Amino acid sequence: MSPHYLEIFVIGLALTLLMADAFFPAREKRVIAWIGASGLAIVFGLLFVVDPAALPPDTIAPYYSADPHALFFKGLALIATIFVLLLGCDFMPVLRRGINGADNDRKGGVAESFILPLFACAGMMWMASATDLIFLFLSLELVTISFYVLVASMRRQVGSLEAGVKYLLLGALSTGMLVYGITWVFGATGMTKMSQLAVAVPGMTDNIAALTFGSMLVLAALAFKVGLFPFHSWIPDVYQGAPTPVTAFLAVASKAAAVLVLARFLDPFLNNPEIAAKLIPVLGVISGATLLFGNLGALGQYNFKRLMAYSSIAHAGFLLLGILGRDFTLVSFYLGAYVCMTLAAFFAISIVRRSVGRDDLSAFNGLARRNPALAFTLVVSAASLAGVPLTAGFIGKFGVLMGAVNAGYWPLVAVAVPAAAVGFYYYFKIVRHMFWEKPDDLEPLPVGRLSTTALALLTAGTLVLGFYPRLLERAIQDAPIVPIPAATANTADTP
Amino acid sequence: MDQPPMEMYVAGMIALVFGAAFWPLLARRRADLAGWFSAAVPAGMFFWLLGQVPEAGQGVFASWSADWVPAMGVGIDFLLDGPGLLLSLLVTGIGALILIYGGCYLKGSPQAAPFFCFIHLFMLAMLGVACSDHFIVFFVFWELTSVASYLLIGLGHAQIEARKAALRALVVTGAGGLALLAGLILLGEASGTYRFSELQAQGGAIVEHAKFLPILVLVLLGTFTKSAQFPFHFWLPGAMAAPTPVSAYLHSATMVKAGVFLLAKLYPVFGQTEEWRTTLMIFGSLTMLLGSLLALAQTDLKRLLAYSTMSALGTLVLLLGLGTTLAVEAAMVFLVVHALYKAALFMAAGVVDKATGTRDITRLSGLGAPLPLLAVAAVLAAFSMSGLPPFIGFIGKELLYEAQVSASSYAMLITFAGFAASAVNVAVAFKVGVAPFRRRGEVPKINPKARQLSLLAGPMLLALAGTLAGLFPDLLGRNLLAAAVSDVVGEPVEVKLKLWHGFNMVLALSMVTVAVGWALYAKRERIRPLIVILLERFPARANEIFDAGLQRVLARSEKVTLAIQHGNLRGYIVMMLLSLAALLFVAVFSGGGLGEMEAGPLRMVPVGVGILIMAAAVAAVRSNGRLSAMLAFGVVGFGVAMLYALFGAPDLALTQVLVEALTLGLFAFVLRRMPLIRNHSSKRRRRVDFAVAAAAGAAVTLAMLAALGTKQPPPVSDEMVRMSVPDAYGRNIVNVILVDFRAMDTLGEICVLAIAALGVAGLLLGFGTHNRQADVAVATPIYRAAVSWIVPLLIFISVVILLRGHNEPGGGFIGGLLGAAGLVLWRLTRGESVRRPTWWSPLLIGGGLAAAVLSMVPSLLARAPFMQGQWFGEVWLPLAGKVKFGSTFIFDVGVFLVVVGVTQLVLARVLQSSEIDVSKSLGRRS
Repeated sequence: MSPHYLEIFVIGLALTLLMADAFFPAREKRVIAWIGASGLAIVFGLLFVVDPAALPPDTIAPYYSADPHALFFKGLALIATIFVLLLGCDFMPVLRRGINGADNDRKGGVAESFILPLFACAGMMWMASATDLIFLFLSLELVTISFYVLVASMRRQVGSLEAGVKYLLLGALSTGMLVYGITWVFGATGMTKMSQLAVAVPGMTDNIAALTFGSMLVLAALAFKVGLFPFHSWIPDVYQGAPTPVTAFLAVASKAAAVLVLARFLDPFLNNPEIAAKLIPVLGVISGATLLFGNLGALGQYNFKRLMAYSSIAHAGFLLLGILGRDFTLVSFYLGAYVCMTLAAFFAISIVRRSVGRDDLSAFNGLARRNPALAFTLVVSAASLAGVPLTAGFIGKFGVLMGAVNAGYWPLVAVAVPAAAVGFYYYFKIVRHMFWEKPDDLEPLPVGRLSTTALALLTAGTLVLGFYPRLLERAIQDAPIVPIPAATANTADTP
Repeated sequence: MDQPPMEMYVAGMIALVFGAAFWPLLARRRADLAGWFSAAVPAGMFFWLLGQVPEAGQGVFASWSADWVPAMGVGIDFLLDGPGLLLSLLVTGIGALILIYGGCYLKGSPQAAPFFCFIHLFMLAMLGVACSDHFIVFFVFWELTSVASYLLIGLGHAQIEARKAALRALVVTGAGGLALLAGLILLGEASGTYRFSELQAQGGAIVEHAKFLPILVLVLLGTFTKSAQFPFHFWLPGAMAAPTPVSAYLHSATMVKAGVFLLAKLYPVFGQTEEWRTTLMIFGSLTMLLGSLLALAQTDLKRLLAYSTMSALGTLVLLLGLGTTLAVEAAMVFLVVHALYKAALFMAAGVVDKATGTRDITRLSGLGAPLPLLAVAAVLAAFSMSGLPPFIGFIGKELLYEAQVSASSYAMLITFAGFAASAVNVAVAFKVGVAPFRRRGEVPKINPKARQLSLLAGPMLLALAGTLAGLFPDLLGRNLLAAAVSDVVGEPVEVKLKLWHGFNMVLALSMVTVAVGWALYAKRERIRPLIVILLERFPARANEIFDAGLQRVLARSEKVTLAIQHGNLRGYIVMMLLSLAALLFVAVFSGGGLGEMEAGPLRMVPVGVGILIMAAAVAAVRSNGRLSAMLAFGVVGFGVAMLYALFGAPDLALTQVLVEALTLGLFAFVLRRMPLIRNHSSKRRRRVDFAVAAAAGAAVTLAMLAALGTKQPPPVSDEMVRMSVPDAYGRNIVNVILVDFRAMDTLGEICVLAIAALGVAGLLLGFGTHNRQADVAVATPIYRAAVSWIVPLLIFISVVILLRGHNEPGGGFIGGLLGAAGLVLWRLTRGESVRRPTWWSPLLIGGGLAAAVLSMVPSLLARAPFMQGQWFGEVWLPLAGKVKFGSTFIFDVGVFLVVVGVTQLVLARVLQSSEIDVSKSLGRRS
């Protein structure tokens, strides 16, 4: 089976659900989430069946690749979406209140919260495979626009609306930069295909200025998506305001896809010595500033979602450092680990939010007594986020540091190590609240069976990857970041 | 000889993991039983390790290895060398006793279950530290000890002090751990090996490396934080907030020794450098003296022991800094000696606490009668600690003095410092181990639970071990210590321990020490107030400085965060634009600035348009109303459209004009129903806005100027122009690209459009049912009259444009925009309310998407490339004449429908919804 059917299947599923909900509205919207999640699970299974060589060579292959990285990220996007849908199920009472206000009669809009992630998922899967800049742009927009809607979907809540507006306006700005940057790259090379760029750009000596501008603009746009300083400003406000499942989705999937695209896009430019001489200092400064800002910003936070926002900025800094170290297998591993631990944290946030009604850190007071198992999963997640050994997060951080040392980025190492140390402080703040603070009430905090399963899987993932990191490495097999199919490397840019 | 396997060791470690999960379950009900049973694993390991000692004495070490992260070259390589064996023996031996003791000590406490979980994890981590040969695996276990220690200290979390202490310990050791990681990675890169054994084999070669100094500093930071060396010593006394079994185990016998252990491992590499020796001597002596001084001021049993532990750790570091074989020998002996007596005394202190409910030495006395066994154990340990013969402590102290006296530099100074510390040690030993048991007045009543065998076994066995080792020192020295010392020094050394060295200066020193120590003890009531007064003269205490520093960092970071993350969208946009401008400036000026420019002929019309655009932009900034600002922006858009037209892209210009018109129309609708806000931005703000916009514009302009010399590759449009007619039978290239060459992208685009419309519709859905149409209707008679014939015309033209689009300027997208514009105009005239939802816009969108998808079918049926246009022959279309009819036409119709549907849907929703409450917009937040 050719891999490009995967996305078509996802889009088909989404359209079917959309139509089904329009014409035969189900009383219980959970059904939609269930069907969506099961459908995605099937697609995930298909990932292992597809044959990358079966791509139609003339029509699809020039725009689309199914290299190991792409397949890995498709898997990541699928897993993240499945968990986000399940998270949405759990979060439904809050979601419904946010969408329809106090009168719970109307059920409008809830189904979209389960269907739009499917579109975004398809977009991310396309992003992972896109090898043509225009196709890439389109799939990115599919994701972004779905997110604009999702972020603002709890329209009875000012916070959600505020987040939506901020995301939309800043996002539009970044989209402009992206298109403009792609235009420059195209203007200077006459190419939009990444495989061709990967061959042509490293050796180019003309048009360096134009290429540099193009790459800087695209860098700025993608820095926005990834959440790199100083283009990060939307992250704390949007993460806090958006519905928790959407925040999780943004933090995990959107970031992962953007990191892949960033790495893919930058690769040819970093291979050109003249451009790299300009890009690397810029990337270094961005990475260092992101590490500092994310970690220091997280120190003073008392809202868990906002804390996770700063944490995601901090992790973006580490990821960029990984990209600078040019070890993309490692970056992929880091993202895989990040997906597990972050999703687990968001599951915990949504569970607590649902029963306590807040997502401040103080809402987690005494969680260890109210629900020891939940507290344990959150400890694992926090430890992994902080980079404690024998969790997946450690392998990621360690590898990034080692790559930076190998590449000789000393100033960055000098920033990254204290930054990681600061992380210990604020991640363990969560642990302190759970174990040391007295709760307002001692009632056991119930967790649904669904969430229990999801949390168990995610925690197991975090630990297993920490103990046995080879599991993920095998999936990626050290493939090059930019796939260069032999057949299409030299063909002209024609359909 | 082959290296003996260490599967037993690994199996023991795995058993500990399972123990961590299992024993807490039992401990919840019967902690004492859990203690006895769980002690079996470490005890078994202890005896297995004892069996390894003779071979280790021959220089043969057990090893085991497995892969872990081969991609990064990390393997789990265990190697039980001399120091490792020594540490493992301490960890397992004392560990078994602590489990028994702790189970009884914590029986019935809610802390029992977590204690058993964490202590097993800690034991595992310590064993890993002891035997890991690979840097990274070593570090993994090292960090685990910090985390386990954090959790164990935090067990007494009811007290605020315990929490603070745990936090301090975590931050200090965690940060130190990361410094160590950085140091180890550097060391690995510099030396080319990540294995201690190979590194040691290289000897001091690494010293010549350029990165030697950073490596040394980072590694020492790691070890000093772990082993509580000045100025990081303050976390250790604070950690005494932990339950006593934890203090006895972690903070005297094992964890704090990990730093010293690492120093010993690195001794063959760095041991002979001036930097190493100076640093270790200075910080070791400072810690030793400070610990002694502080100990004199204490009245709490555990704090007394904690400060004397700090002093002992300083002594160990100092010894490793002396750089002589004798000093290393002294260090290894002292390591064992200290662990034996200190753990015993800690446990005894815990029992005293349990029996009387206090640890204040001024209130303790006469416990010898009710607790005779404990008294014996405590006194034996105290004698060992004060270095009296025939205990092992005596041998330790003799060696200590010997090493200090023979130090190569500053021998006098060091010996005197060592003497002072030892004297205080004697005093502390008597205060802790003797004073509480001496009878002064009546015999106190004690809690009978303190008499249990489980509580007494540990201190008694350890004290006994200290005595036996003193009597038969060769048991310890010949194999175990010899192996440890040989490994550290890097050459075979014979360790001969004996009690009697003859009459010499060292013996004299020992005797004077005991005498002075006894004096300090006897006069303790007078000396303590003096020391307390002296200490109060210090401007600040280390933990206060640390807490204040932490607070300052927190406050500062909060301030910075608030300044950057103020929550104001306008500020965010300003920041993004300025950052982009900065990026572009960097790109221009790092590349040598602007290149040579070719001055082409100046065309007057585009220049005029450019001036118009700029004027409009300025007007937009200056205007006072929303509507006028929007109109000014409209002029900018139309100006750009004119530029397109002037530079030969009529199709693009047409599209731009229509998009601009439609946007203006929609904007007009929305703006008219927004609440009127005056002063929405002050003059100053606008000036800032203008400056920011100008900076961003200047950056982009500069970028363009710098790239003027770009050599154009052959434009892709040539190719498309060439292929447009033969392949797609169309002369309007833009349209051909849209519906045929890149139809896939267009399909994606209209999907995105549809989703956006759904989003807007969803957002506005059900915000009340008030119909706003009447409020916004433009109902002047002239307008109505005009619209009544303009709208049909517009719709007619839009269809024409759709039909002829393949060859002439036009197409589905432009046609759709035009049609939509017509419908917008029509709606503006309708004053009466339309309460019914517009059911036909979703239908248009759906139908359009369906048509677009349908147009793929022919290509699939024809087994042609996906979405390639398929041609069915010529047809005559009204107004367009004869054209080739094909699947692309269907696609174009789909695009047309989607565009019309989306605009209508959005419009209808805007009109139907009532006001959103925007007054409660959020304020500033960090």
